[in-house]
Parts: sequence; structure tokens; C-alpha cells
Amino acid sequence: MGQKKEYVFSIADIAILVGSEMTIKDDTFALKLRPFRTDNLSTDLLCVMHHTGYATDFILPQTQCVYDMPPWKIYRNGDNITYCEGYSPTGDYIGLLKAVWSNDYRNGHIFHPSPKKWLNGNIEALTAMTTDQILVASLLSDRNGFLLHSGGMKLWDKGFVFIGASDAGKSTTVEMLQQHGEILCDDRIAVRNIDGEQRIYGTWFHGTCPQVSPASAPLRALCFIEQSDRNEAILITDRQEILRRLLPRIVKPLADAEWWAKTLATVDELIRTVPAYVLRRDLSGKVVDVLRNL
Amino acid sequence: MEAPKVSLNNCYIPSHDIVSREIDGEIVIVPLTGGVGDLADDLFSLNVTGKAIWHLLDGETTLEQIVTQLCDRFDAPRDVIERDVTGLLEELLARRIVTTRPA
Repeated sequence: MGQKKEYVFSIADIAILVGSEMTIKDDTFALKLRPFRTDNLSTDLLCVMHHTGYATDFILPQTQCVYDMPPWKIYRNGDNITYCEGYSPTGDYIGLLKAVWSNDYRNGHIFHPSPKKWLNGNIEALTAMTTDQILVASLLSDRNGFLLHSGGMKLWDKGFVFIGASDAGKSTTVEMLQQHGEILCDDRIAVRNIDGEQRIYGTWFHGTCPQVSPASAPLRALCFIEQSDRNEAILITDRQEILRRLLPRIVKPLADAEWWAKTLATVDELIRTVPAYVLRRDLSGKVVDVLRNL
Repeated sequence: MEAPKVSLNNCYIPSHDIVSREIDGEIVIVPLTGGVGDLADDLFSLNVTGKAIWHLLDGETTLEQIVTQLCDRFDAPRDVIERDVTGLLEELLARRIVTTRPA
């Protein structure tokens, strides 16, 4: 039997074909990603190819640097976006090209000068970088969507997102509710407007919950969580307040004017159609009754 | 930090480094930080009065002319409107939301 060289993953109704010059084993990618594997090659497909060695076929760009924060330098040059792991541990710029993407992120090439990381397996990102969230956040902006720093659950076939800062208790909230539904993720949720319906989708990014679901559900409520000694949901009627609470929680990839214009339009539509609440919850789990009535 | 100098003789125009959109009756302004990640941005919004001023910042109309136009639209003394306009422009300049174009 031949060695497996490609898998397809699905996230937010986008299929990602991952190919490699190296064998892809069952444990090449972390267990958390496994539920996102699919045989369904949707029409919305992008390809990520992993290569061994250096990017000898690509020229290191001399054009616009759009991001510069160690260890990364990212350039846009015409048809491509290139990621360079720009700094050595001593802080010297070395400019090693690690990834090349088409401008629409439909095609990507990732380079592995050493196969060690690949062979060790348990990689938590299809791009084999720190996270896939920048890739997916970029893809979503072209698809009436965005990535939200939030926990999310599918409860009674309805979607709920739990939004808060890093210490607000997103993971605690979804773990408390786990017995009542599916955890989509406890830290990053994909939001998309599909034919006028706002839907949320599970992701494998960040978070501490070991099991997340690729499922999706129509979004019933945006819940800004607060730890409290009681359980209640208070409707937020001021859309500017919703916006002020929501925008800082949106994952911003290379956030240029075009990305912001598209994302603000998507958010505008979202806050018009989906109610938002301050969700106060204690640790009893009784908040489920509050959510059931929303 | 000293407030930026606003002159009634100058024209002002929205910066290229921001994106704005009217949402629920207010102008929401987002600075382009160019960063990666999900850090909070310094979101800024303009209410009804601010919105009226914003729409007149075309880089060709002086602030003096803007004050005159607003006096025709709003029932308030000229010195009050002038103070509101220059106050807002100071803030917009300080946040680099607008840039100056000398008339």
C-alpha cells in the first residue's frame, strides 16, 4: 500500500487539500484536527503543499513588507504573499523563506528545511506554522465572514458564541455546557453569512479543550460573558456598544483597508440580525436554562 | 502632549490610514495598524454632529466654510459650533484620522 501523501480538511465550508512530499501519517497532525478531515472536496477548495528543503524555486521578495515582528517578516509582491522567518535566535535578520501564498490564499507552498518537526508529528496547524488562524481569517474575509476570539457551542441546533478577554472564562463556560451540546471551540469561532443566514463553525485554533467539533449552526446569540454569582442574560440594545465589544475580539490577519472594509460590512450585517447579550454566569451550570430561553 | 494646531483657514481630509463606515447612524473609524493577531484597536466613532462635520472634510472646504455651513443647519451660536468643530478636529488630528491640506 502506498504512503499517504494528502488529506482534505474542512473548516467553515472551505476544503483544504493538504499535500506533502513527505508521508502524512495519522499522527502527523494533532488529534484535535482529526474530526475536520473529510472526503468531501467542496467547490471552495484550496491547496497547501509541504515541501522538503529550501524554497529554491522562489526568489526572496524585495517588495512591500506588510508585517515585521520577530520571527516573521511578511511581504506582498504582486501575485504572492511570502512569509519569511526573518530572525535568528540572536536577533539577526536571516530572511529564510518559509511559505509562499497566492494573493487569495488559494494555493500555498510551505518549506521545511528540516523534516524533524514533520517526523515528530502532532503538528497543530495544517500550515505547520504556529497557527492556521491567519490563513483562515484571511479566507473568511473574502467569504462574508471572520474569525472571532470566542468560545462557541451548538446547543439544541442553535449556535452560541461566548465572547470575552483571555481570562473571561470562555473555556469554563463551554466545558460547563458540554453535556448539553457540541463544543465548536473554546477560543476561536468562524462566523459566516451564508445566503443571509449567520452561521458559526468550529475550529481547531488555540484553546484548551482537547475535543472540538467541525459542526456548524445558525447563530442564535452573541454572548459577552461575565463571571457573576447569578445567571442572567441582559439584552444589549445599543449597536455601538455591541460593536465596541465585538471588534476588538475579531482576529485581524494582515488587516489592510480592503480587509477592514469587508469585515466592517460583515459585522454591520451581523449585529443587525443577531441579538447580543451580556451573559452573567456562575459556576453552577444553570446558565444553560438562561440560554435555552434566548 | 500638546494638542495639534487647528486653523479655520485650513482644509482637512480623512487619512489614508483609516477605514470608516456608517453603522447604526454613527461613523465608525478604524485605524489601520497592519498587525497580525487580535489585539484591541483604538476604535473611534462619531455621533450625529461629528458625522455632519466628517462628511464635509473633503480637503477642499476650509474649516471656516464648514462652520458656516453647520450654522445654517444647526440651531446653535456660531462660537459654540466653531468650538465643537475645532475641538473635534484637534482630536482627529491627534489620532491621525485626518490630515491637513493648507487652503
